[in-house]
Amino acid sequence: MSRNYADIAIAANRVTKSYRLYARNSDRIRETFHPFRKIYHRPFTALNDVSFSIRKGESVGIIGKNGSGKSTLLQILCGVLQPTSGHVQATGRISALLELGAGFNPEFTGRENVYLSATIMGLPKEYVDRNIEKIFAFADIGEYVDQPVKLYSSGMYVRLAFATAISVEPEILIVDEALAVGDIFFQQKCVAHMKEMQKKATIVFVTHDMHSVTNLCQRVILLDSGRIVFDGEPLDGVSQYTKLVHNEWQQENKATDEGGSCVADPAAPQLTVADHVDGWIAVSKEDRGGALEIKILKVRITDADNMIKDTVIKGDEVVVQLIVEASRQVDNLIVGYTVKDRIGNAIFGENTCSSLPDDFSVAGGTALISYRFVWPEVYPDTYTMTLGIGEGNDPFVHKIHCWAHNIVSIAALVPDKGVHGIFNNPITSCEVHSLHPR
Amino acid sequence: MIGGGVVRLAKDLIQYNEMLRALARREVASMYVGSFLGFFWTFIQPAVMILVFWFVFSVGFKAKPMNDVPFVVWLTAAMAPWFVFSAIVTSATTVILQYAHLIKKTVFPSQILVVVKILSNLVGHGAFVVLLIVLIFCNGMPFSVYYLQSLYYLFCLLVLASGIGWLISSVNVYARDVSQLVPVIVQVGFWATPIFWDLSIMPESIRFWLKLNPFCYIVQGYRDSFIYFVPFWQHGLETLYFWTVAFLFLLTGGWVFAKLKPQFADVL
Repeated sequence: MSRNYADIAIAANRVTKSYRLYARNSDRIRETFHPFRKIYHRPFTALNDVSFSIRKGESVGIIGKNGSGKSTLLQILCGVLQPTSGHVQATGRISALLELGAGFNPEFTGRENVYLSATIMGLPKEYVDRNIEKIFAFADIGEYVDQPVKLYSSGMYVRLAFATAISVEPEILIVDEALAVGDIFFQQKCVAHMKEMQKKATIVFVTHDMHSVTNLCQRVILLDSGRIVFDGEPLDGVSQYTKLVHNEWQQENKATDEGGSCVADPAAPQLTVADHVDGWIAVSKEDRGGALEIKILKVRITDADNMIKDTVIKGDEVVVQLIVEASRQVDNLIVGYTVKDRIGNAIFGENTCSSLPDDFSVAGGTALISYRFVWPEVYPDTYTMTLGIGEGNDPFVHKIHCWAHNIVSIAALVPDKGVHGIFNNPITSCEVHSLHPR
Repeated sequence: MIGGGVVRLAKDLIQYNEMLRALARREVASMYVGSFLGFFWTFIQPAVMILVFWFVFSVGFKAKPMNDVPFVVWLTAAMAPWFVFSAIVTSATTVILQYAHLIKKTVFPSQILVVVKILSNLVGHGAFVVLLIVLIFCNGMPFSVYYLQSLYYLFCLLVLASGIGWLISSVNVYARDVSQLVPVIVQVGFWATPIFWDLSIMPESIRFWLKLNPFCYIVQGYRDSFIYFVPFWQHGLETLYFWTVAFLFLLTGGWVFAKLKPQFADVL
């Protein structure tokens, strides 16, 4: 840890939060006042020995799967919850956006609610007097400011709540997934505001949106089951996170495969323990389509150094590896891929027949096929890849032997710029001609 | 230390006084928001109640004046403190649950909530006392500076109510039975306190036991201030007893609240 404590905005030292699960609510009282401190609870650890320190002005994203302890950590950082052991030290005025509009009463007008929320956040009335027009302007709810909040659309409600919450000029801002409110324009305004705040304040925020993590944070803390498993560069953190999610998803799939009572597919590839470690994904019968004279057994996506790839940025080399089983010798082999977005639109794809002049062939039996492509600049999102193998020498007319549908997911990140559609199309030139000179 | 809870609470009240007033204003406003008569309801409710008393007891039952005081005046003088006390205690029971969203989601000093309930209920009490004075005037009874002594008894009431409020509001978070129990106790308390009846009609032997009820002191005090004009220092022993009980409640309430508060966000 840094020796210079003046730099530190938040220091968490061995923070542990265990919840006490009681059989009955009244056991809690019994335990609190028990003369001999009899224990009535079963402990559940939500945070386990978490330590970190955040420097002033740093923006830190906290990511992790559901139930990994992110929100508990935020609540402890801002003092809503008390840690069971360890302590948190925060230097500076904290503003927490844990829930938008927590202090709003639907019967009162927007104006009245803004005043009360601000008071609860500890702002003096004069401060609100000076800033209320700014708040309304940011929320952009027009003449509704003097209408009861119950008449607001849900979008207006959260906009006003958000505008109120950020009107505090905190030294430390703690945000829990609050950015995902309103329409696209409001979201852009929020992100712009956050970037503005970053110049002055320390920001800690929890999100599931990997894009905003890489865009807004200088550092990522990844929690898993209440422990810090990663603390460092955002891109690395996101990649670790996708691995975590991916592993869990695979284990679940495996568990259902084993637990299911369906008839065993004799051709189903057996994954060994080593396969799991190496990132191989078994292709089940349901995921396959086509003539199936060649079957895709397992797939994996790696980078050029043979490391498993879960996240990509523009320009990354993506290596697709297939283990296939051919029932006969096949010449004129074609392999390809399609990348689809989360609602199933095919975004891009290609096959070897139309991109490469070479001919490929495979003998009967199993084979390892690998091919590579470079990730283009596409909208940051989680994509799935469909991988295929076929036979023929015409780009349009060929026999498809096997598709492995939506078999791998991969998170695309665009760390330093915006993508304005599915992909960016660069502007090639620009000129300015003065028409009516003054 | 047991007294620490109360000292800290007192400090918080000063620190958060702006929030306290804003919340109390909101409490009062939320009672009348959306109604046409608004603030007038503060007067209408006790006025109708007094009117009913007057009609039932003075017109209907022809109740005899109590010690030469019209029954309705005599009754209203005792109803006024009881009314606000029971309102504070019942609303304080559930106040932590009522503000659960703030306690869970914001950094919020939940210890001030009982005081918020006290402040907001004082408005209705003010209306009650104004009506009492109007009633006294209508009955041609004398005014006196002793009226101001009711403020002392009001202070007694508030200290007692804060202690009880902190105690029951925090325990109710864990055992919701409290919110069922409190109205029952308030009901019993109403009849166990000399509001509808006078201590003098009770036999000497049980009068002592009835005076153990700390609220007896307050009810008697209101009558002393508005009707009999007796200064409180004439009840030396009762005063000493009341303050002992009130401080016991305050210390216990403050201690229990401080002890349970850290877990509020976990339970709510």
